[in-house]
Amino acid sequence: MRSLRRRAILLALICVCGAAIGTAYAVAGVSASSSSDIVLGLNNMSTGQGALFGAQYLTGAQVAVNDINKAGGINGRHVKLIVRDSKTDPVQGVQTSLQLLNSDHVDAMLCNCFTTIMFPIAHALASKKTVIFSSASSSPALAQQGKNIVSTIATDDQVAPVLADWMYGRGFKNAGVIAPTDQIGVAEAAEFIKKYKADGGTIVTRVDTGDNLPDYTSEMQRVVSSGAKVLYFLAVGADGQLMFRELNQLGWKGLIFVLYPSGNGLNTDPNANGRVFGIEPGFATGTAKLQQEFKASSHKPAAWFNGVGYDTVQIAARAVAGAKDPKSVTSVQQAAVKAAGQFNAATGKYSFNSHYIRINPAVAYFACKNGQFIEVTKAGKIK
Amino acid sequence: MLQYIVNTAIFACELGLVAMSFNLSYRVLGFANFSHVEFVTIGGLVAVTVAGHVPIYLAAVAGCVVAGAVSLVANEGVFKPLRSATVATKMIASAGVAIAIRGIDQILWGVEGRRFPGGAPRTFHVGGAYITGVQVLIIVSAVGCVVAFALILRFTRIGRSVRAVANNPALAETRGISTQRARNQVCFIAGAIAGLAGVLLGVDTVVSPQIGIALLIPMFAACIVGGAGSPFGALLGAVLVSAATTLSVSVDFGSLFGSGSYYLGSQWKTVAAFSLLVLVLFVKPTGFFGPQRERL
Repeated sequence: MRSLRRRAILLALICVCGAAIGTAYAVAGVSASSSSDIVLGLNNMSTGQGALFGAQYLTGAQVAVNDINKAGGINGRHVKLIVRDSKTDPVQGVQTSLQLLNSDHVDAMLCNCFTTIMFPIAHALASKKTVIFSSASSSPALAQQGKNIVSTIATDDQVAPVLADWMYGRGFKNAGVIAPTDQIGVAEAAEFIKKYKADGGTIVTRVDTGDNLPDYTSEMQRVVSSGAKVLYFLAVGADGQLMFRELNQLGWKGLIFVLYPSGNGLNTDPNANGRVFGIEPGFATGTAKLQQEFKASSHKPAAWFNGVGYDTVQIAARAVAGAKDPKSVTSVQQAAVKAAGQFNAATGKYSFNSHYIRINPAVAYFACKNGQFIEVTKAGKIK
Repeated sequence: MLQYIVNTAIFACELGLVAMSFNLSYRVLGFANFSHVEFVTIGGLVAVTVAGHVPIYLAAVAGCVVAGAVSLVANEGVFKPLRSATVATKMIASAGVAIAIRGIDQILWGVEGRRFPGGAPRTFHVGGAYITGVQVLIIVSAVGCVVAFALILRFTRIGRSVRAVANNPALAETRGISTQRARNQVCFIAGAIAGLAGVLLGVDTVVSPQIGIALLIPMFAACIVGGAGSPFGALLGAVLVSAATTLSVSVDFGSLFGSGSYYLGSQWKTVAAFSLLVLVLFVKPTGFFGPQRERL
């Protein structure tokens, strides 16, 4: 009985301490930001399959916040970034968005979320008056997902065909496709295949893969059996690394082409040297100092997605500060278009279509060398 | 065909170790410990971290020991205080432990995949099938581990006390066997075996904080097909689940649809595992070696 009472007292003490810490934290959180601050909410893939992109994006976003605040803010307003983790999961992503909107009361939301997560978020927030700055959903269908979106990356219908042209142009007339069966994989594969076939190429095999499975040997065996010497490879993160390793274990010696190589992690494979190629918009010229900042902040080589995070924060903060009516979605979106030309963007010049989606970014070509993706010419030679 | 058998055997070995140790812990602790797959991750991550400094077999031992120790700590810190709680409470607590371990893994090791040093393993081409030296080692190690586990269980004092507690804890207590000590021993052994599976999986593939959770669904399927609480039944379950999942993506269904070639995508592997599970439960609701049939 005495032991039970002691336990009850201990439990009560723990609850009181927890409540006190929670209250102190909440008060500190409120007092840390003044009412004039621009509060940006980042719905980030900090963990899960998109974590590599998430880490790179967050580095860039934090560098942007520091740069803005060090320079005295935008129109005197400092930027505060609230980060929540979607865990690269659609259900969690929607919850996180609602928390950012309803609990954190952010002025604008940055979604570093793959298409599979971005679409449910866009659907859930379609009626809200807050603008969503999407940075990792490249599906062409993004334009139909809501009227409150600004996309700071180009869609697959713009980028995947460039990769198809590059592969075909380098003399690879037969290719295999490895694509996860989610919205990203399906959309990117469709855009690629359409253009590759139009160029005259043949798809010799297509392997649909799932996510986060412990073994893909049988699927990779089919790739090897198909005789494909070159692959359009859409798997990312640990899945992609596993598939590439299995391909090598099965004796496959071909080449791999990817979109957005800096975030897929294939460069860490010892077999990737000279065999993995990719395209992404890349860094703009004159951003060497900024790239040094990214490197210093993350202790890793600067990656293109650092730049996406940096640019998106810059655009979103300036859009909120510069909008004639910050409560009007259209006003913030129009201000975003204007804001994109007001700073030295890491990933080059921004243009938007009528759906506020980035169009026609200049594309850079990359090859894996010594564990890193370095820029190459269209012919595949190191620049 | 030979490649299919090889692929099935390799995954069955990796999965078998996890499922066998899970069923051992289920039998003795009395609930499904969701955090068990995280000991796989810990084993792999610890081994890959120290592998650069010590020989691979020592790295494997380190992975097993740390995984076993974490399993022991989880039992002492979380499951022991909840001994009198309901099974549902303990399962939810174990899910919490799993999330906490995965979070700590990501803080300590990051999210990127890691590889054991040594570059690409040597690949052998035997009778039309490919198999790497590492995969041969995996099969040998897994079989060796199962045999050693069976011998420990059968012929050692620890094994006898574990069997006694697993079969009848109250009776074991009256015979002077400390059930708590036996539970701790089981937690350590089960964690260490799961850790070994993580090391083998990591040597064969890539180690990331996700490798454990990726095994959760096939592991459950293997455990239930083999018989809940039956460590050796889980091995049979692992072979069947591995065969079903491998088969699901290896068969060309093109002739069924009148097209040249049509294979199911990888996401169908889970469907195959659970279809097998349902099928077995229809025929044998307790699995092949359910608790009524097998004594440890």
